[in-house]
Amino acid sequence: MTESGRTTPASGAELHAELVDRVARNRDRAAFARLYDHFAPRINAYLLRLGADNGSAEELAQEVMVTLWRKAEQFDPSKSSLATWLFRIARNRRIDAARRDKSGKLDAEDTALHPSAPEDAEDALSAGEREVRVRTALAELPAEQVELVRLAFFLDLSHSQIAERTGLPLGTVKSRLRLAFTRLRKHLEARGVAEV
Amino acid sequence: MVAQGQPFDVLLAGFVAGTLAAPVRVLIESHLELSPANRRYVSRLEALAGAELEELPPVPMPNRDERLAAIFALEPAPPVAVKPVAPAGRLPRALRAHLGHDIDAVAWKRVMPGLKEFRLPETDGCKSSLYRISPGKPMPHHTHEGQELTLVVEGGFSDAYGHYLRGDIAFADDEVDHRPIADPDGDCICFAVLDAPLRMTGPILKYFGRFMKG
Repeated sequence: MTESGRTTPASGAELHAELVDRVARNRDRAAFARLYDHFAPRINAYLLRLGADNGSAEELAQEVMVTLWRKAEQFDPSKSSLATWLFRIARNRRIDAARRDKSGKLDAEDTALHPSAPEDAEDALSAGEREVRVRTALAELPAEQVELVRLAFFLDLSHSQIAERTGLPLGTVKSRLRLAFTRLRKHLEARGVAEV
Repeated sequence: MVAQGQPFDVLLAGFVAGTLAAPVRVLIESHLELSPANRRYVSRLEALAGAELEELPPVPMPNRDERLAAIFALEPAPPVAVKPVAPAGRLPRALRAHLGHDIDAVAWKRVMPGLKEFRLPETDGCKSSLYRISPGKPMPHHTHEGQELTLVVEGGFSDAYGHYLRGDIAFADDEVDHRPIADPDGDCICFAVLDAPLRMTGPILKYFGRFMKG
């Protein structure tokens, strides 16, 4: 549907930032449609993978895209890529939706729009470069740890579900996951500007 | 004392993935507000999740044209300030939002001399409380059946493992028998989340235990 599937991550991030800028400045519908066609189906896929049913995944993905349309000017490409910004919004929408089901209440303030974790001054990489590095960090973990990180972090499986799926004892799953996230921290934090 | 290390890194990853029980999420978000220690790790994990989102095989949105038209038909959003201005408070924003108010409206209950508690309703299987400990006073001796996370919101405390100040998190599980003591220079206010009931171990705490059990 879009060309960005074939571009490198860094230039993809730059293209997305430019399209958001056109939406923010001129309510550019063609630019928004390109972003919609790229991201809505991916956010939909992310929510489905976490176990949402089809209808609610689509509705939440649509809500995320409404947020992009309305709040495009709040996206700051120096802080994160658009994919990361939209991930945060989708994650918080999902949490809000679960709370709405339980309590009927909504959190008025949306923290997803502004990173709770501003990049420090030392961290002068562009968002695109940062994401390339982050992928590299994951790739540097041993394969079995990458697999556990994916199951726990991206698939939201509990430790016992992971134990079931991998055939590993529960205690092994717990200790390997702890090891994996701590190694990941080392790899991620090592990748400051100093290392270019 | 900076909260890092294996159990904590998994929790931070859970925060990024959005999979934590609500009180734990509030505790971690408050920690990130108060302390820069883990912001970089969290922001890198978020970038990792963003990269993963890019790589997911897309699942097409049904009625794409109608959905796009519905967005274009929306009224423009009302103009907003550059940043949502949450009035400054004594509690971190995430904790204020969770409680629905700031520290001055907390209905403290006296547990024992030098220790007040405000217990929140159990949420997502987690008990949580705010504690207010008088200067130099101890929290009761206790161990845990599950894990307890204690975020220092004001003041500070020490236990056998370290000294904790505003924004720091102390982590305790079933292998830890600890006895936090508040710093002498003022009240210590903490937000503690427990995923299993406390088990009292000290001498006076059969008495105390009656109050701590849900």
